[in-house]
Amino acid sequence: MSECVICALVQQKKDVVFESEHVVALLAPQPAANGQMMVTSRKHAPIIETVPDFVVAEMFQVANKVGTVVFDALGAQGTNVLVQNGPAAGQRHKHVSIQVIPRFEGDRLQIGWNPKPGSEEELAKVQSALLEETKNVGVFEMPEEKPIELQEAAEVPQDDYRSKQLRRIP
Amino acid sequence: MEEQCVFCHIASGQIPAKKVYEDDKVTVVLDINPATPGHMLLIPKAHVAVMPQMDDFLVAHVGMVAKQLSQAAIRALKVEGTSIFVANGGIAGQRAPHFMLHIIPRAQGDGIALQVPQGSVQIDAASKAKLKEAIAKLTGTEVAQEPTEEKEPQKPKDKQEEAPKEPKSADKKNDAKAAQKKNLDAITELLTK
Repeated sequence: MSECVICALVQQKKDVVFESEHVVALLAPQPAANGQMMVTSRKHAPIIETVPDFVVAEMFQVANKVGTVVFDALGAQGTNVLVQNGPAAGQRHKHVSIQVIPRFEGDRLQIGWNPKPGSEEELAKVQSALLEETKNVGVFEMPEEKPIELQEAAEVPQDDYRSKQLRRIP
Repeated sequence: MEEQCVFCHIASGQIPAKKVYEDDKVTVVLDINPATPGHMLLIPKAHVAVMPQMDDFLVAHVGMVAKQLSQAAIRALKVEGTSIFVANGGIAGQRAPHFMLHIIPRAQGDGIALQVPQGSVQIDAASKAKLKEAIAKLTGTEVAQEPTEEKEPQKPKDKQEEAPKEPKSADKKNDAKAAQKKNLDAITELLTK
């Protein structure tokens, strides 16, 4: 954990803009856009698949909220939300994050791809492969319920009249 | 549902598409013009133009489904990673008037430019403060504090008690709701005109 850049930033509270029990949002180091932020899990996790569903849910909620304020606060005219999941997707740090990138007129950022029409055959093949795996989608992992901590009951003195009343109840 | 919106019709099944997942809130279909094979579009059934218009429940659901679909893609298609991508507003690359989240299977050297270059755009102190304050207001939380270089001297106890009282959490929640509403109206105006 000490080798992780993101864990270090989270711990130092450097440029943190929001934090909760499981989720931390901070200004991105080396930003390409004014107000670029990253929303990350407080607990170290390399990719999104290793983050519990309910924490992923909160990460997206926080990403949505911090991405909502950049319009008024910074004059952004759009936003991109991006998760780079795995080195093949360009993930830079070994700690999962949702990037929130405010967009401005003429910002020269090129975030996108060239769509190419897919062949009917390829689409059908991919669809059937995916359908096999998406059967399991939609059941979500929720936080474990915390045990209710009761304060230890104070000893009731034996001669207290209230305890005598209590013992009388059948 | 909006009568004019193609993606509302796709989500409801009125326009046929290559569906890979569906539940009561979202429909996921294959993009017919994919960035890579297996490129999925997660489309909410309710018409929402941009992400800020979505409530916390829907955002949470979309995020969790996106995670599980990413997992499904990695397993089913034997890819090395995924990109999960949203564009809010034309300037960000949004093409349709209906929110959608892209899940794009990735492989080394596939040439998809879904990354943010490393830059050095420094946010000025005033903007940073404004941003933090707005986030605190919207989430009903305390403004995040910067780490202090030196430890602050302990204040004498009686002085601490004199500190102005923080607003009650119920007030903060109401303020947060009002802030959310105000923000949303402005964003909707900006992004969907």
